[in-house]
Amino acid sequence: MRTIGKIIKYEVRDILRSKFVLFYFIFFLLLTEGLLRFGGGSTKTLASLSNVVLLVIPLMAIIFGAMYLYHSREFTELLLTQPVNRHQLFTGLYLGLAVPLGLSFGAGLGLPFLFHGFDDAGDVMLLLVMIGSGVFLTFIFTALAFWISVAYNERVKGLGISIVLWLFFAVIYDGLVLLVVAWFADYPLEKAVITFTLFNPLDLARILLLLQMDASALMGYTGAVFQRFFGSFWGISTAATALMVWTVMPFWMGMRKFTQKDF
Amino acid sequence: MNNSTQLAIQTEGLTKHFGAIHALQDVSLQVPNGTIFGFLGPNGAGKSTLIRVLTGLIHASAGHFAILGRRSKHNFHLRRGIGALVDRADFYKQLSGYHNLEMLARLSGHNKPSHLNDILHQVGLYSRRHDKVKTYSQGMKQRLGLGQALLGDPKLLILDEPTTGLDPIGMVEIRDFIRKIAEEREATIFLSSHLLHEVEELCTHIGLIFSGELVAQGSIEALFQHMGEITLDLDVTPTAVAEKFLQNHDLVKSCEQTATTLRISILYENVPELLRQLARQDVNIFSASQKNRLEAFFLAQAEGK
Repeated sequence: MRTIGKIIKYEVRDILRSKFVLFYFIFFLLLTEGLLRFGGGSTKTLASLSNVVLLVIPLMAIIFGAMYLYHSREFTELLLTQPVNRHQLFTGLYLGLAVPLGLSFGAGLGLPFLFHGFDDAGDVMLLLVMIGSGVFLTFIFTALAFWISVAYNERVKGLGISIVLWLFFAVIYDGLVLLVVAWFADYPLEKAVITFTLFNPLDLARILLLLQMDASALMGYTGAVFQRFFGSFWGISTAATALMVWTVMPFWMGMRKFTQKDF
Repeated sequence: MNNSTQLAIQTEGLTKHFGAIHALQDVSLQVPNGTIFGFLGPNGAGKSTLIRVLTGLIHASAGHFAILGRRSKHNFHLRRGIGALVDRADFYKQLSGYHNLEMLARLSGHNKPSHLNDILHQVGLYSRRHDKVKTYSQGMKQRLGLGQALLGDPKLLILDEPTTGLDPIGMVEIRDFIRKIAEEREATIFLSSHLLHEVEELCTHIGLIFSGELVAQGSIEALFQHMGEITLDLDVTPTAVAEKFLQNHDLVKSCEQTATTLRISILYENVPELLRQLARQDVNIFSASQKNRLEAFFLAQAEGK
């Protein structure tokens, strides 16, 4: 653990000094501040931010994560020649990137709310769920990025796969689910739709946010199903577990590849 | 593995396949302690692959190796006591040279500030130690790479083409530095290169690898004794007398006059006898130099392959 801590410490110092993380923080800070000032109250602002969180965070995490590992290939090799085991090194590199990304997003989104306050007490919970979902998505898509960039040596190929994967989760997956629902409209698909949701971390985050916004009524019958399932303790536990699995699985697969890889 | 304590590196039947490509084939290498060992071969011969196996970057397909008497496979503890610079050195770009070195020192447990400053002095980066690495030239990064390899006073330094990407002045600096390290620290240095003159200038021992197979290894002098015919440049006066003698001598295969010397072909082991006889002919011998001995040896081995 001490070795991982040492790697994280220097990795975070390096990343915090890079312009990208600063830009990322300022982007969320200005966006939130702007929406709070000119877009209405905290409820409207949070509703507007939800789509940005669901689209921008996974994209940035997967692209920046992949680019970071490809750019630091020679340095990673240098670290591998040190008396450090590969599990510790991979964990240190991963957390050293995911933590500052998650923190800069959380701080960029949360600070303006601390300054402006909330219109509704329920918005506090919504903000916390939004930050929590965003942090989860950061960790999940950074892990996917690390897995891809360890698995593919060619930078262009790796970045291409990263973009396609983001596109799949952000757009294509929902399209496929809609097709399935349309084809089998005559059958009871409630359980199937909930199951499909668990296989896409973006959908999980989206539903958790929608439920906090009381927007499930807009989704009609499906919304009611989601409300019934994800509104229960069992449903929340399942969603939280699914997000945890989504974080751990790509991380574990990436680490497995990393420990077996010939550099 | 016998004599492992006298050997800094010992490999036994080391083999590495990348799919159908045989990068290393049954390589059994012995690097004695206290030597500067040059690992030579053309591009793609397997030099870097062997170094990457030794430094834990690549897993061997078969075979074993021992470093400083410790026999291990895929074990990071083996890398304690060795310093390595593989390929082009790179670091955290937003951090200073000092902080990069400090981080690596903490990983290996040798982070006394005085030790770090000593190393930065040795590699000539002390005055730039607080500058971000992104402001360093490739040569400076390479020197910082050598610096990190020296953390913890390693008994074995493994350097993969350490002068790659450097300008001529940088190359000379690195070579002088390597020589100094070998003398002052009594460390074993194992370096790969395809620059023959660099190896001939620096190394006491060499190993030759072609197409993944180790074809020769040992001390340079011992290997040259078995190298057969060599080309010798003789700076002698009077030239006419010497030329006539050499052209008619049984030991001399060929003799021709160049702008400043007489160039002869002769078997390596016959050189002392010929020079003794030449001196008896009232010929003044100012110098007898065998240029590019290693090149000749290298080419002879390449032809043998």
